[in-house]
Amino acid sequence: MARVGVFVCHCGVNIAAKVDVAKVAEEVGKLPEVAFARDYKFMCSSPGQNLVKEAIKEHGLNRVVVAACSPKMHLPTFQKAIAAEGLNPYLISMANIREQCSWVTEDPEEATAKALDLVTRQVKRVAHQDPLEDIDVELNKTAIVVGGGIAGIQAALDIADGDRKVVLVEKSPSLGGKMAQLDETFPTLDCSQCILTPKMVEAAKHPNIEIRVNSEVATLDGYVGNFDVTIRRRATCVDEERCIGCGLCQEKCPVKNVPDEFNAGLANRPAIAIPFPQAVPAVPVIDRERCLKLTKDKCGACAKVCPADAIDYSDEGSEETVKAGAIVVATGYREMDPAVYTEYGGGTLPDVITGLQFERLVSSTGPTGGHLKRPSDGKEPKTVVFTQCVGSRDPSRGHEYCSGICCMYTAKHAMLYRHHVPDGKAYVSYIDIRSPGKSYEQFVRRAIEEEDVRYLRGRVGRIMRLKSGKYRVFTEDSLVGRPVAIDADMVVLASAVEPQAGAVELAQTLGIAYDADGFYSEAHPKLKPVETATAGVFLAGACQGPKDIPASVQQGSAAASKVLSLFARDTLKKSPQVAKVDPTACTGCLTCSYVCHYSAIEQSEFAGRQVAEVVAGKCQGCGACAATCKNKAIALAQFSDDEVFEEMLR
Amino acid sequence: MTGPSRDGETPKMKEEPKILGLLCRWCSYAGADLAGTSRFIYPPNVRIVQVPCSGRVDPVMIFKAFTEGYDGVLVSGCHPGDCHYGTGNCHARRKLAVARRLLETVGVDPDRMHFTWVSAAEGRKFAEVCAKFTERLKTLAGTEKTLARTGLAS
Amino acid sequence: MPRQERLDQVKVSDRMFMFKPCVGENKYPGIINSIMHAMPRLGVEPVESDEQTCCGGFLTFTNVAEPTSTMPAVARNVAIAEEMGLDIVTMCNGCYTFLTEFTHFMDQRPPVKKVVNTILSMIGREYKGTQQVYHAVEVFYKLKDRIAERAVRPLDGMKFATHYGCHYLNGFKNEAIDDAFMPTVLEELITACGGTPVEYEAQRECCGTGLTQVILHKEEISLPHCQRKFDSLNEAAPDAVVVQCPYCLAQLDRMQHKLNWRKITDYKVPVIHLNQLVALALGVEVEKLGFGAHAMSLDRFVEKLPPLEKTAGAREVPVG
Repeated sequence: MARVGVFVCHCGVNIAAKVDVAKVAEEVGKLPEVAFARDYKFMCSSPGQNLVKEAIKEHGLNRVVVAACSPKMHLPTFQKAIAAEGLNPYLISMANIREQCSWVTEDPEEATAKALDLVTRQVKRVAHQDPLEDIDVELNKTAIVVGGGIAGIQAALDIADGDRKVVLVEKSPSLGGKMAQLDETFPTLDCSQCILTPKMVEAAKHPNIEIRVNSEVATLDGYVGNFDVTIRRRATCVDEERCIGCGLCQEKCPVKNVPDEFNAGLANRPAIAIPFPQAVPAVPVIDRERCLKLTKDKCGACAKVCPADAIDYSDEGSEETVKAGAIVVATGYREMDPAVYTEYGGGTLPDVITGLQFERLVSSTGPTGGHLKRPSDGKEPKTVVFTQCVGSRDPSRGHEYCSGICCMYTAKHAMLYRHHVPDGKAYVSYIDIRSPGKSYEQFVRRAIEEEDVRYLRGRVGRIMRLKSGKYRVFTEDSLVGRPVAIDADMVVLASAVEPQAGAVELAQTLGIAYDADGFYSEAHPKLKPVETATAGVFLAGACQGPKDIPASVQQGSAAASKVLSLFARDTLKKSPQVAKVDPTACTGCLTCSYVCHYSAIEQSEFAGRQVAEVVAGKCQGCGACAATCKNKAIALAQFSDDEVFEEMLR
Repeated sequence: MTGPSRDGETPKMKEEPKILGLLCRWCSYAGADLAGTSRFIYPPNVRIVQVPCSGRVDPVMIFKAFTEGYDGVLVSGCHPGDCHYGTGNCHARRKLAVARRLLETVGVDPDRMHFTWVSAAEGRKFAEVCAKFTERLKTLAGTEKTLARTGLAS
Repeated sequence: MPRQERLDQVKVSDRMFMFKPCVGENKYPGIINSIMHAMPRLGVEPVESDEQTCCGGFLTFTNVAEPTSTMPAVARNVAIAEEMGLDIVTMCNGCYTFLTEFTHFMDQRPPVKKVVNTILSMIGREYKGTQQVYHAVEVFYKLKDRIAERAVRPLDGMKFATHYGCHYLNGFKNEAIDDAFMPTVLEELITACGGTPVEYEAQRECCGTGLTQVILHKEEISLPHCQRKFDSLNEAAPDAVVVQCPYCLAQLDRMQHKLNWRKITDYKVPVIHLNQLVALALGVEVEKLGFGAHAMSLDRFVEKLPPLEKTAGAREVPVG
């Protein structure tokens, strides 16, 4: 015999402004199942929760309905409250009379009628809910970090320092990501490689971290605590174990004109190459499309000169399956290709370059040894225009969002330019200056006030190539209201931050959500920045949204802390929302097992017949089987036909 | 909200359609919550029932909804490729395509069942879907007429 | 680079309506005559109508007439072609703009279309919106290969600069067949005609018509701008510059001449319209192209023209 207690929340004025909560409580109190009903200002508060506890005691309640905000908000709050009072935490349900009622309905009468209906449904439903116990699941305490940039390295180090094993998977041949390509970082002008490489080395040498470069996650099966991950390594044709990193192979390789990805296309590399001198691991990779041996069965020079016999042309790549309990996704970003802006030359003007390309030009490890030279003729540029917001804040041909880092790196670029070319003129064309971090504003002011960088507020309308080899940049100084034309030797476009190539495919492989721009979705924009809606999969760094190095490091550590608390116990408490077969009704057709995405249904035996059986540990509670069974022999706890129909049918 | 009562009375022509919304927990229910957080107003005709996945939706639920007196049933799940449980939304789509044909056979206008994808970020879309579906149902003839013909009304 | 999706939408028919530009009729009749003779050689019968009026663009640009007057004029002009069931070919950036923008406006706003048709009904016409409006550059580009095939006077050794103007490419950034900042269709047509395109710095600069002749009449603002364009153009020393708009033609032609006449400059680049270029390549006689109306002399240009090829492949095509 159900004795339901109903608590209708005002939520301040959020609900009470449209819904007559007192009336709802009064009307609901008349239902036969309801033993107690009242309204209250803030149910989620301590006194609010105490009301529930006291009512359970005083009125012998065996079911509770809280009519308030979305269950996604506070169901766990109230579950804990009733559990503390000895009532099974699955004997409660919530009526969503805020997000799905008071906040979306104009007319108070209609809102009140809808609220009453919604609460009534939950009362009927909860009466059919059964007590359930959480399931203990063993968990595997290995973490996989996808992406070896600064965010991924930080996450891996923190997890490994917490005495847990990490497999760090990186698509390219080396750790480091974008940070390895930078020259100096804002706001300190620290050398990027100098602060990064110690971390790269630490990650490579850490006893708890296994590095897998040239690798990607091919498939992900399973669920939190028990993931089965297939990692696919590309065919590199170089044995990592044997290679001593001497570099003879790349010296001798006759193919010298492959565009170098690390140098953002400004230089060439051989067909076998170590990506950059400080690479970790410093093992070269053969480019299968440019290697003469692999494409035409000619040459073979690298194998001949290799002192360690590390070249293996027969390498086809490999696959391995790793069991893990948690995944951290830290796949970073890519720089937008500004060729869509034909007014800036559409990518055909050699001295109109992107931010990353500028970094490579001023880097001492770059194609010009750190001497700033024009790609077209190698001359030193005496006038440079830095253009902000190329592809950002532009819904028409680029992205609506702000890329967050360009104001800061443009100020840095302008200052680096002035350091390299003291008699050079630097102009920055900007719309706004966004410098929110610590010492960021001071950094920009330094560029303007001390380093003579001329800031012009206005967008660049066109870049015209002149016969002289210079570029006429048409912009404006909107603060004085005048158009401006600058004849520049070089133009640097602060191109937008975009999700990596293949980001959406990876999200679908990992089973995580992504937003309209392709960045990965966090579980809550304010309060859960590093979790995803998929339990056990966490986010860190620019794959979640454009951000700078300190923010990426913060998220790396944050994700690591989530992983470590997940791994803190030996078993995981799993929701009891699992399916169960009634073997007396089951005909053993096993259709349910075909629709189960988690392979959680097995063939079993009952009274000499073949029947289906659910492996509770694997079941994720989606209910596809329950919807498929023609005999209604399989039921999903918490979403049984009884419960759903009680809520639906009125 | 009135509907044909269970004791078989012939009801009058309803002006306000009664709509059942079966929303998947991870995407569509969250999208409906977002519509609320963003204060997008939509007609109060929809009664949302949460299911863990659109794949949980059984065609029997659809039929029972119509016999119960709903004028329309809205089923909403994650976009293809994004299902929290991998392929649940694919099963839903196929099953409900069959259910739609059966609705036609029993004489319920198949337009009364609307299947859509709403993601957790699409608050505005959810509000628009509800508003449009409500409007659409107002232009269709009453359910009770079709049910009476089939003898399915209790 | 041309946009394939837009190109796919251009349909060339056997008969098409030639929309005569007012600056063509009044100042450079060669523009019209050349297309009337060129089209038949490409297998298209050019149809014209004496009932056609000015597109109304000039009047609207200069605020002399309100769109409430010029929109019915546009609708009437389009209705004339509609009654014949023909798609319209404009040969002026301004005509293209006005016919296209106003017809789109009416199509997207039924109440406006209704009012306009009420006015048109007073003269027994109706605008339905059934026909397409094209620019000659779109049609010629679609027929590019045919032009190359049928060029009986390929313009070998002749160098051409291009001037696209503003209203077609910039005004219809998403609908024009080529990119506003890096277009190549005119260059490709020049190549199809056998000529050689040359580049010059100020290629995408506006001709300045709006400031000089149409809106402001403030020479002191517009002439320095034009001078920059002409200096750059003359430095490249092409045999002629090809335009696709009569306004651009008038500006580049007359202002070069005016500056020369005032003994400020010594410009030498004559100006021809795309229609005249294609007609030349297809073998239309020079006398029919109206070169006499051009202020910048085309004598040297004509002298340099290669002779008509008397090859076996030269087809006898009926002249329309």
